Amino acid sequence: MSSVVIAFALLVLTTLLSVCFAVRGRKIDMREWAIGGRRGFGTVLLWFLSAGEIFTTFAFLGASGWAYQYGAPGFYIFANVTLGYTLGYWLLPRIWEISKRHDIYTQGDFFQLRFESTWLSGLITAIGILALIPYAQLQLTGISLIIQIVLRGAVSKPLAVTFAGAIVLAFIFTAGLRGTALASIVKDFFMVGVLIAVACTLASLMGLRNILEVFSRVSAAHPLYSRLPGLQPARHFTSLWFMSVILMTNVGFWMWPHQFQTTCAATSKDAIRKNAIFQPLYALAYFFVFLLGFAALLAIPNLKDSNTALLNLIAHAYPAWFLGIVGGTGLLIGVIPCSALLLTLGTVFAKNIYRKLIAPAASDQAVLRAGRVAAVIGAVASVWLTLRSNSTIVAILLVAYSAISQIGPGFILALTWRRVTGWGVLFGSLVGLLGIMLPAMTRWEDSISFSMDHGFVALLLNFAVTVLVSLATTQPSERAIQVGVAS
Amino acid sequence: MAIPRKHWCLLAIPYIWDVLLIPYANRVTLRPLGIPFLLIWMMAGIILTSVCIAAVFSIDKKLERQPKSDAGPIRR
Repeated sequence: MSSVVIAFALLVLTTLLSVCFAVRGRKIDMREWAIGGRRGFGTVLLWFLSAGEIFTTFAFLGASGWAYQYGAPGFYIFANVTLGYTLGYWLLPRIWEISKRHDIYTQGDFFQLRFESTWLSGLITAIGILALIPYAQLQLTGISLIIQIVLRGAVSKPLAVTFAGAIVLAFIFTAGLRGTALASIVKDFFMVGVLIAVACTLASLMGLRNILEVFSRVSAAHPLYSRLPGLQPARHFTSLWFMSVILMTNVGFWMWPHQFQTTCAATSKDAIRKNAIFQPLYALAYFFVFLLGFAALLAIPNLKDSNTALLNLIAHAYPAWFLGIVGGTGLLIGVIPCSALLLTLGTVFAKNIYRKLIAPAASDQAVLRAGRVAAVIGAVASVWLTLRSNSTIVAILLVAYSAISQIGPGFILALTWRRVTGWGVLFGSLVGLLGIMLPAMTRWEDSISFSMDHGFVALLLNFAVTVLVSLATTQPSERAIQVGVAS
Repeated sequence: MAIPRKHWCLLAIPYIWDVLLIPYANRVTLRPLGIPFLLIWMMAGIILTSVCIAAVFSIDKKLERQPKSDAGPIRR
């Protein structure tokens, strides 16, 4: 019982604090205060915060779960941030320049200007919104698992998932985006604290000489784990699969709805480029996450749901109160990003689809309400998906990325190729979407893909159709082309 | 900006390391310190990427600081 008390006390306390701050109308959130006010200390704090940000539900539960269930295939995750920032070094400054030159702040606005089409911008925005739903599903999966484990199986999965959805909605409507920022900082502190504690104590608790011994022991017990295709060869996680997933997530890395805005808010191109140098290094922390997944494999080899590997390792090796702290931290790690995601979904829908396409004459109040309704619908859709799904967290992320990456070909071609047309992007994106949503198409893609991820095959189809249709239709006006291609 | 960007092919190196060379990295059965080779490969890829991006950035900054040969205002 004590573990439950601590876990929930954490969440309730954080929510209360963040609500208080939000309600008091503070304009500056804690992060800005910390960085702007104290230079030297600020750098350390910033590093600390960035280190904490790496550990999301995906990292904490998903990556360790994949290490537990499959072994080597999980290592593709290292390439996400790495290649993401390599691409970003070129892509982000271009976005920044374009936004300054043409005074645009959203992806939708860019597509509208570049292809002179409101409907295309609506479609692209809709794809972005669609992709946010499996992302929210991922967080809800993590939250509901924590609820189930912390309550020691007293709660069924449907109840836990519904409760998770309710917590997220409650958080959205009380704390809002400002409360989310503060809660994020508390989460980061707990996160790093928990990891340091586990790093220092796990080896002795498991009876190992040092933590690296995990690798040699796992090697002896499960020799397939160290190389592709890993512990379950029937899943076909081959080298080709590995490469396809890395490329697909790379294309989708910067296509999320809120990232365009975040990039525009940067102070300068140099700030963006310097950031690209150091951000990949944070991904080194995944080494430790994988290590924990492998430790779980040693300690508790027969779990049915690999998503629970890390939590069960903690439950197995640590006292109940520590499980409560880890559970509470995990809950924050799920609830806060999930709220931010759904809030983003709501605002993007309200500003870019509702106001632009559905009701251009609507009042600010009506638009705000539309955003709220969209956030709730998004939450309900995510809950529904979570209830129906038995997927691993990483698998859900790959679904989200297979969707968001379908914006990639259109976006990148818009920045590099004069000949690309609105019709090309439209048909390409639709083909890509159908390629990941229609079961008939995914089955066909799997049959021709030589084990590559079908999302990647859909991406290739998207690209091909975009190019072919573009060549068959008239190119945009010179002014529109210059929006994207001008150097 | 008519700055020559040939040094940007350095940015291809992370892709070569993390994508093209994977089938070869996967075949290696060495396990330094017991750690799977592929794991070490991917982590080395991270450090390599930081180095490459840093190199490209410093060359970019150097080129942007140079005054143009045709007399005109210095672009930053």
